[in-house]
Amino acid sequence: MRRLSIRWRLTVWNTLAVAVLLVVCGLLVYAMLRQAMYKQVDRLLESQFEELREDRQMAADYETRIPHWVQEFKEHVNVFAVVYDSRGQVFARTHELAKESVPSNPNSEPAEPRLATQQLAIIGPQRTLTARLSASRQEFTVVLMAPLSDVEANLARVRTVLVTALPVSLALAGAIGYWLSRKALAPIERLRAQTDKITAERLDQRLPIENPDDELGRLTQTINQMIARLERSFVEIRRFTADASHELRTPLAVLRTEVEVAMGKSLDENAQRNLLASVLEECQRLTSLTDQLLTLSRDDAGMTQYASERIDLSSLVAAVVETMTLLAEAKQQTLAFRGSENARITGDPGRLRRVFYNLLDNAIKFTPQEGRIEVNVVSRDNSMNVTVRDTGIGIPREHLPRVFDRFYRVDKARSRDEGGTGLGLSIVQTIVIAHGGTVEISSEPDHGTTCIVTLSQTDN
Amino acid sequence: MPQVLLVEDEKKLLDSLRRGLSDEGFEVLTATRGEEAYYLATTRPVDAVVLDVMLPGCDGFQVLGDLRKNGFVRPILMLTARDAIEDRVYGLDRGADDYLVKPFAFAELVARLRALLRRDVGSRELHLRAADLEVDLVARRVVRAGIEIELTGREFQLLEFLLRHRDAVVTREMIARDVWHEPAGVLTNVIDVYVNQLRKKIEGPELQQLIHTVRGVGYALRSGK
Repeated sequence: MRRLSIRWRLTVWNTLAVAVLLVVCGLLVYAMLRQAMYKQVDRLLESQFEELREDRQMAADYETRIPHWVQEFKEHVNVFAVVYDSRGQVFARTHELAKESVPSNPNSEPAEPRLATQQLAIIGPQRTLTARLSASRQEFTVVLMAPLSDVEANLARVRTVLVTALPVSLALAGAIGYWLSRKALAPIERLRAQTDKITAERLDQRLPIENPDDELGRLTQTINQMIARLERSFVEIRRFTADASHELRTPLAVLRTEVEVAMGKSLDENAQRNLLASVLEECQRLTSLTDQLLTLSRDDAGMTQYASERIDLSSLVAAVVETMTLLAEAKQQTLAFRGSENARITGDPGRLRRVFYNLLDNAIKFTPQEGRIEVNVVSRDNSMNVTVRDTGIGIPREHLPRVFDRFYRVDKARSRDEGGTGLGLSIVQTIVIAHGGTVEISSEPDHGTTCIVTLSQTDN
Repeated sequence: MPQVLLVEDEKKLLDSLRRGLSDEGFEVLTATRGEEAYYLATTRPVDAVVLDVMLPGCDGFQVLGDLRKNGFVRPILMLTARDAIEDRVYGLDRGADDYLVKPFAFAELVARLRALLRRDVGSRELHLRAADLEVDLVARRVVRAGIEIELTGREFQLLEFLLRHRDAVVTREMIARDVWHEPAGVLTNVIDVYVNQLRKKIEGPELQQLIHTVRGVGYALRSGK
């Protein structure tokens, strides 16, 4: 079944709620009214019987007093009366009462007056009061009858009113509900139309906020924040695509030029070898570039499976430092390492080694001859810090926020000549974040750069 | 002359691989389709198969499975463009002996092919020799022209690796993987430095040059004159 729109659903629910309310109220009012009306009749009957019982002359002269009262009741309050003697014979009754309408003798009546509703012939529904009356050793049973026809007629009128009012009210409730929900939903519809207009090309636009404190205002703010995030990632994607195509085109351009130039002239064997070697080098660069891009996009897509092994971070870093020592020595740099006891973490050893290879590679690359590089593993409140500090050329302040961006290079020409792809720090960050850690970089131009990798420690 | 069946649907790659392998002294049979590969492997005296995974029609894994089911025991080396771990495991599970991820260095293909072909026959040598360089793998002793040379652990492993592939070109990727057990990437510079260090130790002005740099490819340890 197709779902109704929110507007119709609200209307239906609203109408249903009103219907239930109206029915409950109507029933309650009707019941109370009916009870009140019966009570009135009962009180009348009781007061009449009370008068009869308190008649002082009754004991002396019941033979005339009872018919007198019977007639009184009829004339004054339109109450029929039938009085039975102790043998069950009708002793007196209202003249106007047809014979067929006389109720049968209620035997063994209780001492207390009893009220009931009876359906009698001709005169219809009657409220009856049956009670005992003693007069001069004689026991009588008195039945007083008040017609319920007026009461019933009034109640019937009330019922009619209620029954006709219900559908009318419901229709009204429905109409009001529909109008209200439309009014309430109109801003949402407006919001939808405005959001619709914000396409990929117009992400710099924001939705207007009418009232920042109401629900819609908050929703609009949330949408605006989402658009802002979208805008940022669009900008990043555009930049990344531009950078990536630049990075891929550069080696292709070199390849193409080298080969084209070579085709144009005859080369001796040595020149040929040089040319081919250069071609191969560009191929290498393209290969490692695509490999790294693949690594990063795998990670973006969450397709990378990270191993989860218990590792001694100190010995892992020590092994990387040992491998890189020769590289530093080739530049007469000092590479110092200080480990830490109990540096247990959980992670992927291969990928973590890559983190430190990349960081050390950068440190060695960007530190001049005879510089100093320190690597320290320090345990600090349940986490391990690995600090790589160099005395290199440093990174200008304005570049710091972007050094983790893909293909971002501080000194483009220089870094590419050193064989960098501009993806090293991105990969570092990706791997560290995947391990639930953080990587921070701080630098002072001409004095050096410090990189701190923080990973959470594993308890023993 | 070992006969190699080369299965690859990319014509240009097939052609250059065929020429390269012929130059390296292999007799090369070629196929571009899975069915053809299966036919050739089962009807000709093939010593090894180089099999691309992505083939039109019947793919490489299928051919691999069929050949192994049919009792083909010669080594099979898979070429895959996707370097997903699952692919490798899948191939090795189905009976491949080795795999190479495209793009690969031709030198590496040759080295691996030789290693696969040798595996059947040769046992591990305990003494390696090239010209006047002798290496005793058990005692971990290196002697050049009668003089004993001290090497660090890593230098020794590097030398052993070069000697095992003597007279062939090895790439930095191969060295990174087999000596350092790391993907190449950042180790490129490190390997260059280590090779230079090793050169300084085992070579001298009066001695024959053993370790040669092959620009754009890698290194080769040559024993001949």
